[in-house]
Amino acid sequence: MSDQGPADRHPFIGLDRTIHSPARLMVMTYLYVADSVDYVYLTHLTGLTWGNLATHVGKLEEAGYVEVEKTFVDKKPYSVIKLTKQGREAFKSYKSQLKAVLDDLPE
Amino acid sequence: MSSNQVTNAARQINAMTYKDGLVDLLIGTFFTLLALQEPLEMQGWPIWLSYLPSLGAMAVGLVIYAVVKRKVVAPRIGLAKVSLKRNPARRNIFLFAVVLQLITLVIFILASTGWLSQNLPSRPGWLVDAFFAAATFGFFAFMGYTLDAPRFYIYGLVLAGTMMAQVALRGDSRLVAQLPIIFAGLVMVIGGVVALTRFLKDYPVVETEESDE
Repeated sequence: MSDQGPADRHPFIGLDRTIHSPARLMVMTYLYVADSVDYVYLTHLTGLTWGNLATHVGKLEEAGYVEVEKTFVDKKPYSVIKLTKQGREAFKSYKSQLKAVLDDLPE
Repeated sequence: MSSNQVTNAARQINAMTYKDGLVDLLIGTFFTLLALQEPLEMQGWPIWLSYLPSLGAMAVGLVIYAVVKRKVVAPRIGLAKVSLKRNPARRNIFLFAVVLQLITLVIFILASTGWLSQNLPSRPGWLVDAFFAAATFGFFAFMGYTLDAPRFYIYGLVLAGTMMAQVALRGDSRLVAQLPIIFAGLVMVIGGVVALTRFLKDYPVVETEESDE
């Protein structure tokens, strides 16, 4: 009997689920190529509603993958989101894991 | 979102950043005012001072650019900070510009030390201009591609055409020879105005839903 864990049996199972959701994957992808992005910019890029985006950013923040800097601009709350070092490493790892799995497939 | 969109994330961010046409307005104003250099020099201004209107407009323009970006553009489309390190498209544009500047410097040194006329005596007079025209088009076309902004191809063509037109007009009045650069600058200014108008129409101010908790 095999004592392999689920992730060893199928590499997809080992993928980081925090990133793997389509909405969070979009957010992480954009943050990966930018230093920081504000909420308005991200809603335009992703097409997500404000509330939906806030929920996904909240989950990424809980995981320590993004940090949200809240300030005030012209007396209005203003949030800027950026990838943390941990988030950048997690995204790199996710990217290479996914690539390895998909590259094994025949054309 | 398609996988293609995901892989083009950097390009999408760049395209969003240049949608407002402000860069077009800035560069266009610079080129239009650059045409003043020759008349000012003819009036006896020192060469370095004759560039003052275009460089001064560029400096003032950069301040206005930052203010408009923050007060007009940001409430509509938001802001993204992108460094060369993170964004390969911008890094490539930067490297292209540096290489172009270095080649220009080398050609300038070769021309000013008389090396070109000694070693290439039978070269056509327009050869160096044609090189710079092609390089300018290449640079703007590269910008157009990497920033996903097709209007930059037109600017490249117009500027390259301008450079060659100036060569053709060299025999005429020095003032007449400035007309093509005014034309090129105005094309960019008009392109910028059109892009800005479209941007203001397409992107109303976003009512943020952020709480101040």
